[in-house]
Amino acid sequence: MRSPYEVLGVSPAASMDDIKCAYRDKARMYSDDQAKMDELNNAYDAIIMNNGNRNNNSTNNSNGNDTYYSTNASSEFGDIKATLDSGRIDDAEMLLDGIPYQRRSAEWYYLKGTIQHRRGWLESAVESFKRAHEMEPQNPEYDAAYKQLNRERKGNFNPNREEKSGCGDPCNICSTLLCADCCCECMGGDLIRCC
Amino acid sequence: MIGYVRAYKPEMKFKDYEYYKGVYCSLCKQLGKRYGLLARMILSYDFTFFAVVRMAVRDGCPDVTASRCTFNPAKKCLSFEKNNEDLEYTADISILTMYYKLLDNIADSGFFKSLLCKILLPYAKSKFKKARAYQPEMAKMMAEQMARQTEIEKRTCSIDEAADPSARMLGELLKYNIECSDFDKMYRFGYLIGRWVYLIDAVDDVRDDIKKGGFNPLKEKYSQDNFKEYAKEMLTHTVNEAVISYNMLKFYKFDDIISNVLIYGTRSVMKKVLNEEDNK
Repeated sequence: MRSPYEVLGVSPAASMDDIKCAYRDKARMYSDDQAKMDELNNAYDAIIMNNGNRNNNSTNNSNGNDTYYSTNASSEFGDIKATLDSGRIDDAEMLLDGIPYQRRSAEWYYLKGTIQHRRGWLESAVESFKRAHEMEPQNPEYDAAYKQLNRERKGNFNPNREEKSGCGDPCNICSTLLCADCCCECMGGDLIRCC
Repeated sequence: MIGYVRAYKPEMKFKDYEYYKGVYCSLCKQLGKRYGLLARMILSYDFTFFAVVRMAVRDGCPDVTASRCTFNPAKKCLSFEKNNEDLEYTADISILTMYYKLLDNIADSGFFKSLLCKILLPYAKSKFKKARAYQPEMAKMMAEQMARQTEIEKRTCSIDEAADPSARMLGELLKYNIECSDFDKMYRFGYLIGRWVYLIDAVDDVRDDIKKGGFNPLKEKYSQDNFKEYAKEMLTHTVNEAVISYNMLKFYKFDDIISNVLIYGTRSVMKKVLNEEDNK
């Protein structure tokens, strides 16, 4: 059997970015060949897991507070989550789509839904969150996501003005004064004494 | 696809109505100034809203002057025309959009409408070239998205996929060169408004499209019994997401106009479209 690095065609010393690049290139090449895809995915997962453990240990040694990799270790798709967190939606989706059907767990659907939601693909996002919720009804995260989207579908949301700063009107002196007052109060002074 | 994004007058304050009308009139004048008398015909509420949002994220007070309508001099309105890049930009974008809409009509419509569009085409083309010279990047982006739309419509696709090119187009248009640091939020706001417009247009047309065999992403859903309910949920969801991204943006002015369009405007248009569905 070939080593995972051979499968991906990278050196064992390659950086994570290089490995991801190689994985993506190969995934594109083999997208029609399920057997090759499975081999590729397994190799990629093996490397990621190894790397995750390595990082986990090193961070634990240096400072025990960093939980980033340990939370990822409990997650099946830690690497994809990290990609998503860094805002690389396209990359995250490509990695996610490379996972074969039999390994698509509730978490997979949850991540898929998150990506679709970020893109504004709301119809598909609802379906994915629903699927994740059905597969693991006990999971509070999936439940909350599904319920939130359902609220958005049924009810009307109103714009929230209280939290907004800035002046509502170009020529409204009162609100400008109030803003100025707030600013003064932030700095320790006061412009309007009664508020 | 025109006039879906509009303010709902009964819920508006007088001053907001004056501002809104002012932007509308100023856009009309800007179109006339840049593209000639006939170009004023393409003035729409959708682009008025576009201009309002662009102006709203800009810090500071716009130059407001009193003016009169060219076509009806008895009508007074506010003018925002002085040094207003946003109005110029909106005028250019209106021309670009209209041109693509015209091409789309020629490809999709029946004999007479298509003929009419063909007669207008040379005129539109000359204006389009001018607008393209003003906004080369956006013209290129729009051409790409239109090509994507055509390509997507050729195969079976999901609702989200079908709405994506239009939505993306508005997102890109809205965030382009904007004087605001929240590019991503602005893009999302535009994306969702664009998506809503595409979807409500699809709901509006689904019956005709089934009859005439045109493309419509909702055909399959339409054959199910709870279509009206589904359409309402789908549209409401998109509006609510737009409201959420609106809440995260900072508007220096016209806040009430934008929220009026978002809440009352969209609801009244949705109601109208869905009720028409019943009467057909």
